[in-house]
Amino acid sequence: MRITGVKILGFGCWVDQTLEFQPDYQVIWGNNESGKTTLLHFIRSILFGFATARGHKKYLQYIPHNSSQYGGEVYLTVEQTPWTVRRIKKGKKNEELSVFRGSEPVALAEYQDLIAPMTATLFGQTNFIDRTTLDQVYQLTDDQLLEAIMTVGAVGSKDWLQLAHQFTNNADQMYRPRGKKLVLNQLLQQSGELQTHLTDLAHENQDFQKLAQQVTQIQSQKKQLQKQITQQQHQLDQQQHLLQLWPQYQKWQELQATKYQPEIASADWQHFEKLQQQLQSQQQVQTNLQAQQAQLQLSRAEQTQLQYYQAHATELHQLQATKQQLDFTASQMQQQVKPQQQEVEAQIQTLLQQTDGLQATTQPLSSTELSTYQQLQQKVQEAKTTANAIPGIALPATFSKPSVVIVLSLLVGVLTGGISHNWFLAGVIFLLALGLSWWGLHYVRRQSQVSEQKVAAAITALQQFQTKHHLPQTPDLDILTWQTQAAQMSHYQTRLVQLQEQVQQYQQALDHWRQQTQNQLPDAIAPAELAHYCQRMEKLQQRQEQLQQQQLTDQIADLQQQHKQTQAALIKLLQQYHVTTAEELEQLHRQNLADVQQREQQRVLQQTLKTALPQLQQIDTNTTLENQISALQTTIQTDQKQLAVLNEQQAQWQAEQQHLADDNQFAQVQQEVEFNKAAIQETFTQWLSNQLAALWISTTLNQASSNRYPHMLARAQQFFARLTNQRYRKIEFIKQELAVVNAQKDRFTVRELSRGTATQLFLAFTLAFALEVADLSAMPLLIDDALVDCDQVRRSNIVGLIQELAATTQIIYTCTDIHTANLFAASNVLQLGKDDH
Amino acid sequence: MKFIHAADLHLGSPFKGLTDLPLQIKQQVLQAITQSFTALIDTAVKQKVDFVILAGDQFDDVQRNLQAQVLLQQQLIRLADAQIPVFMVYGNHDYLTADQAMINLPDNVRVFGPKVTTKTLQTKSGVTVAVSGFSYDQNHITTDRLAEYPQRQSQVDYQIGILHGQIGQPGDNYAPFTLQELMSKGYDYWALGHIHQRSILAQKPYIIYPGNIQGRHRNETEAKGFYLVNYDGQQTRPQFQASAPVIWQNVTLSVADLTDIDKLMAAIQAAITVPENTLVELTLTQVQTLPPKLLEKITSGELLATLQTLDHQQHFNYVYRLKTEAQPLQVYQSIDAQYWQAAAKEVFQADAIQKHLGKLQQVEAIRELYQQKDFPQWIQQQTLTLLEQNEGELQ
Repeated sequence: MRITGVKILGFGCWVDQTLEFQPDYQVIWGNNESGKTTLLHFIRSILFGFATARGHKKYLQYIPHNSSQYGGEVYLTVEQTPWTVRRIKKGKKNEELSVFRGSEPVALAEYQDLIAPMTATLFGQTNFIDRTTLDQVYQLTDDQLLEAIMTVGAVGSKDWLQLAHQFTNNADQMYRPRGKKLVLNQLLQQSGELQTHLTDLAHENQDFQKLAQQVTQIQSQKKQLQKQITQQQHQLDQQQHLLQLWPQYQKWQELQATKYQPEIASADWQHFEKLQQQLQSQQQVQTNLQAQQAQLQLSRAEQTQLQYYQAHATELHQLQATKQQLDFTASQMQQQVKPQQQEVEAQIQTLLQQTDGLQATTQPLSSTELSTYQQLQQKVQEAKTTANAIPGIALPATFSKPSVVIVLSLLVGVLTGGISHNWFLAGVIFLLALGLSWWGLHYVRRQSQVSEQKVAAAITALQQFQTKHHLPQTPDLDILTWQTQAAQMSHYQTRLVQLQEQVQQYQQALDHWRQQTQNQLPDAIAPAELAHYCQRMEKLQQRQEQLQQQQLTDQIADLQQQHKQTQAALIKLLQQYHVTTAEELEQLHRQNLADVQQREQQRVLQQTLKTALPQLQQIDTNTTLENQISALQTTIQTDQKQLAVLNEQQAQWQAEQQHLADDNQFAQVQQEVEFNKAAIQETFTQWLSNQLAALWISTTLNQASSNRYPHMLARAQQFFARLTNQRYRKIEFIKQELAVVNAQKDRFTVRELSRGTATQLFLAFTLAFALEVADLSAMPLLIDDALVDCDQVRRSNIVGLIQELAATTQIIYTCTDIHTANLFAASNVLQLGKDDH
Repeated sequence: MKFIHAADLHLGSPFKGLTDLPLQIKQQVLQAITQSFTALIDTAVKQKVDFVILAGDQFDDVQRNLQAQVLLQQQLIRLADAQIPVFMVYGNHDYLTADQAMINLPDNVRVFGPKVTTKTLQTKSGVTVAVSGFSYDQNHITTDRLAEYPQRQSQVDYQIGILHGQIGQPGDNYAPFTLQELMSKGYDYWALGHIHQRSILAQKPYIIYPGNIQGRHRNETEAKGFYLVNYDGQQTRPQFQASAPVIWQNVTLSVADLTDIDKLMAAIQAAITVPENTLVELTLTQVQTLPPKLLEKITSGELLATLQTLDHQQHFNYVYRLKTEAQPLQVYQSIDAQYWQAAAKEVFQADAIQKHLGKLQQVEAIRELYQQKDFPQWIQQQTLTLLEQNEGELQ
């Protein structure tokens, strides 16, 4: 297709402009800022679409400043048919595209088919050549330039190359085989570390098992050791037991050594004892009997006495009876008479005490005497009474004294004087008083004297009577009482006499008996001893009788016989045991008993020691035993310490087991391993995709290039020759190496070319490729001021080049240089700048 | 009668596919499987089940991590204390080997040997149960073991078959079987194991994969747990019990019509917030509609970093990966398309790729990746995305 013209409504600096283009080629020249580039962009925008806000600098939107409209029309000729492509944009989003074939609207799909496979991007990359394309070449290194040239054959190859480099870079940032700090390298490092860690931890299982084994082992060790200890303990107990038994063992040994006396058979011993007993009892009996006999046996004296007694037995008995009677009387005397006597005497005593003057011999007065006394008594009384009638008798003696009288009279006189103050009177009174009193006293005295005489006489009479009758000499004696008492006394005396007579009678009888008895009894015996004597004699008699009865002598003889027999048996027995005396046998027996004890002891010891005996017999001294014991104890201690050590070890291992079982580290590390794995996979994927992306790009570019290269080569060669003014005629592409050959057939690799020449080589290829693409799409080529940097000679070559290019593809070429523009046919040149803005 | 059916405990197994986690979440993650298993035992004890079936892969590998063994022992002791017997088979990950566990399991645990055996039990309520099964004694069991399983015994009230394996044909690696074979035995329940995604393959009788008890990577998503099965004398009623404390989720969110960061954040929050603790892989689709600056935030990782620094104290819905999906743009020009494609064929070849790796080939993690069958296509896609992301540069 060929562009025949444009109508710009508003684009960049273009507003309402219409331009016409030649179908073969169109040169547009103008100064800078004349809108050349904008125009080219306009064409592209209308044909393929406005640039969006996305995207890059290459393809600008050119929002018009001065126009409200944006867009325009492009007129095409497609297979001699005129097409119109109209694209405008209102606002931000409303892009309107309308395509006409002639005046008929064309479906957008058909238009797409028309322009396919060309897109805005592709167009930009292949059909749009500007300075930047070439300028960038200058920034490449030689290798990069070569690369660029080599890969021209793919669309957008330069950018793809840049991207590929970026990808490679990215990949290198992530991983390098010998890298250390890069992401993937570090992850790999970590992976190794985690694996090691995990393997270490995985040993847990083995460790656990090992520990379990060790624990089992130690448990069996412990068991064994425990058994050993128990055994040793048992041994120790045994030894200690032996030690304990040692004294007993020694004793047993002693006992074993003793020689025993012959043992008396128990039957024999019983027999012996019986014999001894018999002997003893026999002896006893014999002695008894003999004693008895002795006892009973009467002496000669006794016999004589007995005879005498027996002769006088009857009389003596009688006397005895009498005596009995007498005794009875005596007792009676004692019981009755004596007490009565005592009583009477007591009564007499009492009476005597009671009554003064009374005597034992006092007799009561007769009645006449009594009355006499009474009369006398009365007389006395009378006398006394008269005496008493006399006053003054009663006067105390003191008053009779003259001195006293004087004094008293004086006193009276004084008193009187005092009162009357008449001392004459007083004197008179005194004298009077004196005289009176003196008389008075005298009289009184006389009177009293008389009465006294009378009294005395009466009393004398009484006294005389009293003396006569033996009465007490008291004047006021109560004679009646006296009489009674006297009578009583007399009675008592009579009684007393009676009693005494009784006594006397008894006494007489007793004396009589005494006498008689004396006659009967032998001289040596006193009568008082009669009873005793009789008794004794009776006893003698009894003895005699007894003696006769018991026949003691025979018995004793028998006994003696028996005794002999017993003794004989005893001796026989003694002889049996080779002893002579019973003591010896007894001693033997004691010995036997002792022996029995010993034997018993021995037997007990034997029993006690039975189990231990064989062991004990193997030991000589108890020191050995003690040594053995202490050795055993030490061993046991050591073993127990060992056991404790084993226990500790077991506990430690079991704790370790538990620790392993509780330890969560394995799971944690396992999880970290998974994290690490996922991270490695992710990073690896990124790395690999970057690597492969770069590879894909370069492979594609290479493939495309190497595919198109041969065809492109011919054209490129042509263009290059033209651009270098036939200096280099050939381009060779052998084994991925690019070389140019000059007229002299010298070969130069791209690296050997100058930068300018290399750029031209690049341009030649680019054009060749553009034509390749153009062959496919038949789109015009837009060259924006790109063929600069050529000298004058070469510049003209460009013209030829364009004309040549134009044969197959429409070229729209902009430039600033008028000289270049002038090289072209004027009809194909459009000037911008002066009239258009 | 009640019992619990669980499988694929994978005690001690770490979470895969994460590059790191904040500390609190990491701690919860480390405890997640333990917690799930403990919850299982809690339920067993609380519900006073008659027995528990563990259908293989109790451990992650045949080495048997020590702490995992201790955990199993401790929890089984809890069952022993509650007089609950356990029927256990070992699977392809923890198969029986000669030198076995260092931890002794309590007496209530009945492990099946390499040959199919049948163990019987009488429950406290008098129901007689027969359980048939076998343990793996090597990594792969390629024969069809079903033939060894006896027909249903007539004198028992309930018969269960335990099988750790996968539907397939003889020659496949994991005790291959067919559903018909299982059903033909006439059992009342099949307790399967090995497949980590729970599913009920049949209902008469119930043939169930309980799935594993805690998801460990992006392919083990949503709720995880075990089955509590009730038998009332006539009907069997299995009931799924969720026990996993951390749930994996893959969430897709279209960002078309979201023009600014706030709207975007709000939409994301709405999409990922759930009551459970989750680890989320968030894929944003149609990102080409986003303003460039916003898209920049996504591709630079800034958005993800922001999402990841939110509060994770009590509850978290943590986005561990943020992916973007865009309408693919034409990265290269169609006139060169053939060369690009030809170059792709050359570059994205397994051998060609391997040549690039150099020493990296020896790295386990990397080998795992590139040895996958579709790795070349996958890496090509990644590379293409990279080019797409950078294609702005080309404009």
